[in-house]
Amino acid sequence: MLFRVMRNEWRGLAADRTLWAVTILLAAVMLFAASNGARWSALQQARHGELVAEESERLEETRAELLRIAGGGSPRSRFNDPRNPAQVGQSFAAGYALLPLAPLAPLSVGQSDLLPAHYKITLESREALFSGDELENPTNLLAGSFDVAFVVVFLYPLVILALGYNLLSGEKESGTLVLTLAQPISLSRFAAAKILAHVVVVLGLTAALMLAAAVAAGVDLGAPGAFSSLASYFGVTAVYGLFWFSLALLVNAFGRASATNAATLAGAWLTLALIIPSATALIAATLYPVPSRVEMIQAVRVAGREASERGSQLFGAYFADHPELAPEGEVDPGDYYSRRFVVEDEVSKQIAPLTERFEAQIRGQQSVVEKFRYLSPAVLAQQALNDLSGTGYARFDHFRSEVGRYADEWKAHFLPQVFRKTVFTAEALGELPRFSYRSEGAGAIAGRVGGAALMILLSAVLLLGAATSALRRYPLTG
Amino acid sequence: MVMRIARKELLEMTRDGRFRVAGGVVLLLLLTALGLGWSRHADVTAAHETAVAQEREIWEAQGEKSPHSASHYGVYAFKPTGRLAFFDTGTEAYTGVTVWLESHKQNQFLYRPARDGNTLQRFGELTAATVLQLLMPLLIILLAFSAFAGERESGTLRQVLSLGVRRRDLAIGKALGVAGALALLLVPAVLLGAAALTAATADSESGGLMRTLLLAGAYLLYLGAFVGVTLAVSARAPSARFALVGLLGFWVFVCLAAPRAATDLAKAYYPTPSAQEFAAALADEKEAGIDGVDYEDFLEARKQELLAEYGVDDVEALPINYGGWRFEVSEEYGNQFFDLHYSRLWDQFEAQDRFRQRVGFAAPLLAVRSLSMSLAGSDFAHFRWFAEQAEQYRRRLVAFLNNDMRDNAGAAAFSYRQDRRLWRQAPVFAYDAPDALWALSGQSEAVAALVLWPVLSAFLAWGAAARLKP
Amino acid sequence: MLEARGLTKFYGSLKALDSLDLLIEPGQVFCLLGANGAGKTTTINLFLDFIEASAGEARVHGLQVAEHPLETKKHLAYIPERVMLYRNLTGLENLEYFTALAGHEEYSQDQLRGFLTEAGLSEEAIDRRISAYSKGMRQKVGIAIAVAKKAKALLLDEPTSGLDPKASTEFSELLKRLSGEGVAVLMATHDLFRAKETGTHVGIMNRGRLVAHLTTEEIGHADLERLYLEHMRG
Repeated sequence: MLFRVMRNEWRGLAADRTLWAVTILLAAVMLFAASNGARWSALQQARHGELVAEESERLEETRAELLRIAGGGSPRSRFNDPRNPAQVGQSFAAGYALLPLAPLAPLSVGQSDLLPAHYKITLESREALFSGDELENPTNLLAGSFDVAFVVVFLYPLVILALGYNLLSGEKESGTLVLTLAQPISLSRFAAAKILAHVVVVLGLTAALMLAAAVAAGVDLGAPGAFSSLASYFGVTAVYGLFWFSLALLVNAFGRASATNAATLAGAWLTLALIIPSATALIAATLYPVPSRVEMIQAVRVAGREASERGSQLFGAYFADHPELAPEGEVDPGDYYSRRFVVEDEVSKQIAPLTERFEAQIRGQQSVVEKFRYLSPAVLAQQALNDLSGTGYARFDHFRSEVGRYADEWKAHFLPQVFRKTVFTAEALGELPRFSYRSEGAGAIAGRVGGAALMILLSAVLLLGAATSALRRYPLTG
Repeated sequence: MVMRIARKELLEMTRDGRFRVAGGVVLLLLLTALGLGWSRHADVTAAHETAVAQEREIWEAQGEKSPHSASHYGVYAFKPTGRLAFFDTGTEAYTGVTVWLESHKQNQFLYRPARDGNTLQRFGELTAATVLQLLMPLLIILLAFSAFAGERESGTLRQVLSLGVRRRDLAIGKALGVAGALALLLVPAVLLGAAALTAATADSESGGLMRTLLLAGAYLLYLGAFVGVTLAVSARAPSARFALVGLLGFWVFVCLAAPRAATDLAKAYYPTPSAQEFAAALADEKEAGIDGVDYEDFLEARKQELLAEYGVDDVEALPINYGGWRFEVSEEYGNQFFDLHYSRLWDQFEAQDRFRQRVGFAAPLLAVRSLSMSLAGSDFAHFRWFAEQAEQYRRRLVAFLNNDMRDNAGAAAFSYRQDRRLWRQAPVFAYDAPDALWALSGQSEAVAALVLWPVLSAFLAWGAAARLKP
Repeated sequence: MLEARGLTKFYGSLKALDSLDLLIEPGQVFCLLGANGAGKTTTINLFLDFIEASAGEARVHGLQVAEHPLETKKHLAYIPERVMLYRNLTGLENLEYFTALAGHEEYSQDQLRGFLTEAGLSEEAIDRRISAYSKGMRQKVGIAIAVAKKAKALLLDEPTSGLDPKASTEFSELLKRLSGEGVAVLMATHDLFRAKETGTHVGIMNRGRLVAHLTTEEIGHADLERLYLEHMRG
């Protein structure tokens, strides 16, 4: 009987032009989104390639230069001397820390257009290392990308609602509902069969299109973890879809007219997908205003001036803090590089409270987001999809901390040589610490994604419960 | 007759619970966005003023050093927030707030505020502009989708037409009714905005009023387009339900899909180079020189001119400090490449923005968004205007320092020292904000699209109303 | 077969149906007459469990409707004033779907076609989509559904209003045949002539009350009309 109703619903959907229009539209936007994602990740891949090539070329040139000097040549200038470990750490051998693209990267651009996926590691202070950005037109960043995640988070719910806004109201208005219910079938079973028919059609279509999109976007499904990530990507999409199906059912269960249902659902979509996220962002920014970077720059400038004035007095304190860096014998306080790094360290120490305030405010904002995100399945879904594509905030945050660790290692490698005024050689070039990205544990990602999916599912179940109870009071007449 | 119809429409809408709820929510969001936007704008402006003053102090207190060292010490230029950015923050979250001005180099801007924000900002910022751009059109659709289609279904349309009411009077009356309902919402917001603006422009009146009036005009055209489209669809739709679903689809295309799609297409047609590419191309060309004239040749030619000017054979014999002179020549040499490459990059960005404006002919949101950001002073063009002024200032400052060395260092090279007296005489960066007409000059396509839309939609509504079937 | 005991329905303070007692045996055709709002449709909706009774009970085949909403519907067929079907399906497809919902999966296509022709639908109309059907053709599909369902009771809500005289007559013929086969029929109607012709029993309702109950044999057409108007005045 359930299947009978489902089959009839399919027949109705198939006979109605809406489904075909929606299918073509969804296929078109999915493929367009996939091509955008493919272009973006190919671009990033190419950029990474350029960086790797530039770095190895630079290292080769440095090696050649070192060998030339060792063979009796003279350096090009005082400021261009690869024997100076400070200059090597600062420019000749400065290495790139790259965040590799995850297999599903073409499906969600996420934060990858805003947050750098590579840093050039030098002996600069951490603030300086992290301040660089990729070039991009700010208007592009403002608009965001038309990627598969955008289609899933914003457009796909609209497809569900467009097909389902008159699930019951349409039959009530056309008069078939009474005729159906004059048969031995209960309204809740009838509604369940109808919504199930929609679920099967929409999810089946989405699964097929998503697979096509992944292939079109150049996702290598053979890569380790790629297929299971794609399966999870679809899983999140499916659960997110269930939420909107349940909402459509609930709104229909109140027995209002189709036009009212359409307006109500559009309002709900707007609230959940647009208003709540941006209002939350605004609330977070108002509760935890991040101090202006302008203030930070000023603090660095003032601290820098004071530290420079104290100059050589800083050395004693510096080596008391960093005994591991202390060279044997005396440090030359007149040495430009030694002085510079000691001063920089002092500046970092001076502005630490401000940096801490900065980070505390950002953490504060993020904590508001963490709490409020449960209000919007769109936010949960977006975050989960980004997480699965490796373009979420958490992965970039993790990357930054990995890079921070590497920058410390880099400094620890070079500073003793700077203070000792070691002569850098071609052999030493082979012993440099290199960056390799240690990804977050798979458990961490699975935990975040699973948690989000579970929350969406829970809200879907709550809506279904509400719909079931509302259906009992469904006004068949009038 | 028309006014009577409009009054009845307005009465119906204000009695409609849906309008009250939706209108109340929109009004609340509009006022909240204006209020919070204004307070944030005030904070940012205050921080900016403090920073500018403090930066000058730091510059003057940098201590004794050679002018060239001072040019390496450099100064930071801080981008002021757009005059009307409290209304439309535009790209401000995505442009760096500061640039370090030093000798030899034109640096990139640093610190995009979005990187310091929370992850939800990417869902779109809640500003008065976004409320007007996204929510107001939805409200219009909600108010007017059933204007004709609903009356046709309930049979009142037959009644009204049987009374001999002209179809076009009916259309105008309905349009005025919707406009009246919108005015109920917009009046408080306009009053608040005007008050904020008065406070904002109290000290610097130039162009603020003009920009505000143009903004108001832009939004009237935009919302007018939606009123026209909604009435046209309502008149022709077979049912109210069809009208609503169709109009919501139109909204999704215009307000949701088009901006992102246009951006991806813009990036595909006018690709943005990577920072690495940009830096490499700049360095390569600087190395190779223009038309085979590299730095050595450039310097040599200028040196010969200099020697000829002073009538000597050797730099040692010059009455000026040759090192200081040469620093400035190297600036001049390098600046050619910065001009070339930065304008190439920024032209590319502007080409992307222009492409988006052109998509405004298909989706008016892109036109109004472009125009609104521009008039609010928060678009890329205003950023570029600032960046170019900052760069010109960098060149003046570095030249001032190099010329001091050239004229006063004599035979001393790096041992030549200067102090606070000179630093105080150094030029001050005075940012000169562009006026409203300049802002408008880059928006010709957006303006054209924004004028075309309401005209075309009014025409459509007019035609549909004339053929209205009861 | 159809039985109402003290059946009462309030809408707020408005009494739409006032303790209706009614018994319709197999083969009887009970015509419910009355002005708009007299409680005719309310009575039918109560038998269908579309609305909940405020007091009393409706029984179908001895089963209380409120307690056995699905079981009782197996015995019922319902033909509303305007039979509305799935516009995008053909008459045959609609019939197949509704009889399947009623639990009759056993019919072959030929049998289903048979029901439709029997109900008076022309061969070529059977495979056309409902959107091209007239009201009379849709009513015939409605009848076919009722026949195929082998319903023991038929609930008709002004089934002939808006039908042309020929269609209306055909409809009456069908009803007579069904009642001859032992089906109990409850028909709400405004059509006094049709009630006299088709009905075995006539009830007149006014403001929720059944004010007269007689058999058609007892009464002539003119008498029925006089009686009706009397009750409407009173």
